[in-house]
Amino acid sequence: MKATTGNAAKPQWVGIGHRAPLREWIATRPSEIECLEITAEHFFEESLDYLRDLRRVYPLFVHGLGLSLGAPGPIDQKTLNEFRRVVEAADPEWISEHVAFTRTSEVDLGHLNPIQPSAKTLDVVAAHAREVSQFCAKPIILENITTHLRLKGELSETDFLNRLCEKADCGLLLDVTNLFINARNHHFDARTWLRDLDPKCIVQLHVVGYMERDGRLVDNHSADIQEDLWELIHAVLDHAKVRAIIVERDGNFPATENLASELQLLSNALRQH
Amino acid sequence: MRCGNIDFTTALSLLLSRKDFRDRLRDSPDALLDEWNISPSDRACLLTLNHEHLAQQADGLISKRFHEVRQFIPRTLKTLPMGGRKLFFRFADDCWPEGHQRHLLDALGFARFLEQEGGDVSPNRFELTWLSFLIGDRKWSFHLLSDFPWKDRIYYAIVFFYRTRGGAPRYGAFTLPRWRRGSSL
Repeated sequence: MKATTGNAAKPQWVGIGHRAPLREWIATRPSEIECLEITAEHFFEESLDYLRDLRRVYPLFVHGLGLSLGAPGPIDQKTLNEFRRVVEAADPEWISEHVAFTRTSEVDLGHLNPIQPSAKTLDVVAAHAREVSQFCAKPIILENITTHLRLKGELSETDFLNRLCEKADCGLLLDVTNLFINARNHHFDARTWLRDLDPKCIVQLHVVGYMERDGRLVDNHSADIQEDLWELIHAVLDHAKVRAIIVERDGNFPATENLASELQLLSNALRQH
Repeated sequence: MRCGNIDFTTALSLLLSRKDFRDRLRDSPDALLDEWNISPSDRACLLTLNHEHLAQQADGLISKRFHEVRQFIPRTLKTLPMGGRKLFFRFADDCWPEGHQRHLLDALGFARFLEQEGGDVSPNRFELTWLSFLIGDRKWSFHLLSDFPWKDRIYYAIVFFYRTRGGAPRYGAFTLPRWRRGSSL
């Protein structure tokens, strides 16, 4: 799946990651929310009628956290089955996961960790991404993560991602905040990184403000988008024609008017470029 | 834990999950990597890991777990020094719950850890009982609890946990006339 493959006039959406504290606001159908991203794990072993109802109102995307595509060995079948159950109920435009691992045969770390940018890992992630896409019968896009630990491999991160999109026939969910944080913490230039990325790969964006702790930036998904992050968002929108932008807020939720205003600004930016 | 022929990603997961492995990688890497029978190319990569960043990544994982756990046992944590963060790090380093219920399991595990090793501190009974219900598959249960929180007060209450037809867990409570003396949220 590539953003600019086929019809160039595909719809574009701006929306928000679905979270329980936003449920009441979402139910009022605010005009600023054009789409929703559902985190699959939030609905595992739950009744899915709510998702079926949402699907009638909004275009949806299903986002995974725990399929651990970067770990060698088989994907956990129970997790994959639950993931598909959510996908079937939500009938999303596409599904997404991370270029990362959360568990191995030895331990379930529960959160995202970096993988080595090597040809061997590329094969593992690409094969897993294809498997998930086929199992769920939906296009898949993969997301860059933020990490304290920057692993060395025979490929650069951007080369790895470009090749991954090719090999797995997938797109990229570019988390602009993660790029911003990694660039700052690991001292590289985000715009140079961006230039090395094939613009045709970028399908969707994640954005949310960052926080600073002990001199490093962290992605706790609890802040409004800062000015310097807006500049990078505009640079990304100059670089690629994206299909969707999702505000990925997990906590410290602002007043809904403020969230609506952030979505409106993103919508304006998406349509200006 | 299995030994021998461990790939890079699995080795990294072990390093992130246990401080003793990280210490051994720093102090005597050859012995550890020999024990894991790491391939020469993976070995070279593991030897270049930045120990400080490795520790930050590992601490970050436990911080994220703590953030999740905080949402399930806020009242328990409120009674602990530093909001329970230090105690949670002691509990969490050699205990990694699995599956999509891992945050619930983590919270329950930590609450039980506090019961055993928390000294004067004991977990909030309502939070502990609610967690047990969420993790289990019972359709309903009744409890008489002495620390049910409602409207900024703590009450004695008969609490009814149940699951809706769709399976969503809920609770209701009959509070008893007097709140506990000296307790407030």
